[in-house]
Amino acid sequence: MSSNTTRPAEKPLAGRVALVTGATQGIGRAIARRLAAEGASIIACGSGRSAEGVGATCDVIRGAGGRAAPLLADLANVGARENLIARAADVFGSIDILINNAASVGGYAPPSRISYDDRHLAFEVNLHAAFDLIQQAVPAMVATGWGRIVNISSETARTPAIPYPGSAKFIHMLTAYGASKIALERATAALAAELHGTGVTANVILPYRIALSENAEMAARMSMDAHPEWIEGVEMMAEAAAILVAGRFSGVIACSREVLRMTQSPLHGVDGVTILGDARTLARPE
Amino acid sequence: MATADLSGRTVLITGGRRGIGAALAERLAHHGANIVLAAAGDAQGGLTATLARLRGVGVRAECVLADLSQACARADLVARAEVALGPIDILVNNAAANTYAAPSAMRLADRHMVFEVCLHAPVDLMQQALPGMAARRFGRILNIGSASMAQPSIPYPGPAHFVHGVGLYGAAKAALARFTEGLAAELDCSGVTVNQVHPTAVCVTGANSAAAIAALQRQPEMAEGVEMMAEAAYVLIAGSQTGYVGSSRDVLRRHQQPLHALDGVTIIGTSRSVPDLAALLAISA
Repeated sequence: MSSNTTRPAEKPLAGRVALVTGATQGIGRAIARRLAAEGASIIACGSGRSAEGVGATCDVIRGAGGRAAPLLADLANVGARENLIARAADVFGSIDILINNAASVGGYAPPSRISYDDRHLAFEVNLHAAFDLIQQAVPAMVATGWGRIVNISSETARTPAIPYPGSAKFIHMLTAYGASKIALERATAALAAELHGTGVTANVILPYRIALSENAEMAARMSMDAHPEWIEGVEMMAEAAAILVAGRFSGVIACSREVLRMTQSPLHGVDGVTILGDARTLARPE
Repeated sequence: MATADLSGRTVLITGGRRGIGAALAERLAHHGANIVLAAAGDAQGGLTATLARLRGVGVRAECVLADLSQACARADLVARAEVALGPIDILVNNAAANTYAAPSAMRLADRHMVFEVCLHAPVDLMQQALPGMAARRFGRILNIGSASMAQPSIPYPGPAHFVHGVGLYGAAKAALARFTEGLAAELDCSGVTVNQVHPTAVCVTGANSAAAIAALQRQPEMAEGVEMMAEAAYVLIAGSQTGYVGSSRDVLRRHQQPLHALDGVTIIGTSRSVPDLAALLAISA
């Protein structure tokens, strides 16, 4: 179905199944499209509120000749994540690749005041949901001797240095979110160590600063004039994810550009074919 | 007599029944601070003895009981502590919990418990204590971290299953460190400082796991006595720096501080001192 005739008949991820959470837009959609272009069948996961976005992700993948199916689940809800991997495996078979991309800020409030409920929501979605899915998916991955787990983090995992990259108020408001992301990073490093030698890898990638996606569009546009180097296209995260899925690295915690740089990889479009640039390429907003 | 520079101050310490918490309480008491210990209960003993030892130093000491893993049980903890001994000037979040399951295996209920005790309870108590501290323009918040915030490199310092078993616990402590830095930034110039300190490797407390003791016996230089954490805590509480996250020995080194006994007077060593492990383990056995 692809109009591209130069691709090899057998794509590198042919026969693999990938589940991508938060595949409704932005980074999640870009990673889903990229893995589909490499031959993986995609379970595009999103909450009930984002059914439209998940559907659009599946449509664009199918339109490019790939396989994709939606799976709706509110990851903040403990009950909704029970058996989620089993439900996903009913569609295209066992999950080989798990991309934990869904995230919740919880609530915008400074650390002195952020409510328990808001903190709890951030940790529930960003850490516990990711590890629930990991724990559900790992046994089959270990049994087959191949599995890839990529968790998505954020620059806010590290306390920004002064002078701040933005308003102090905004920096303070992302403290709890950043705390949930550093917890995800630390837990992933431990998981990678635990799974050493099983054929299952676990890695973390994060945008260098800001990925130009729908949900970060305002932050991106505010920073773009003063700091164009902070902004990358969503293809950068998709490229980094594809590199880590294809390779055997485990325990890597790196920003997208660093993954490209250390593997001397060009930056491709989400079709996996078109070369857009390299690790240094900046976003080009329309 | 130790410097009475904390005279009239009131400290709330969680998990102060034994170990690091009890040692910190004793050291701060020698500098004149009154102490409220928060404990889940005294089923395993130690609380009464610790309170008696603190009162023997000549300060007031009380306890408040709360299961820190339950949000409702800790909802009024600072208020209850203030009923006991007056406004809380110094909060030490020392209580922690872990089940030592590997990241692929620790079930959600246990992950929730670890994050409740190691992260959400400290944040709740900080938020409860802050309005009073801010109004008085003086406050000291000290969170107790863990060296497990960082994934150890290979070769591991101890058995691999122990390293894997502190992965999620380390994640909770790393989250607390991020929160500590964020809160310190928010509270800059308010008179309230927020810092976090952790044993450089293993603090010998009498409550160490068998795996930790096995690792110490192979590498005795990993050990530090409770006095090292008490010294670092005292330095951070007596001083005015904020936003610091680091190890006990690093605090002593940066401040050119000798290592004192818990009486705050007797000098027993330096930032590099390693305790007599055999003697310590014999005492705690």
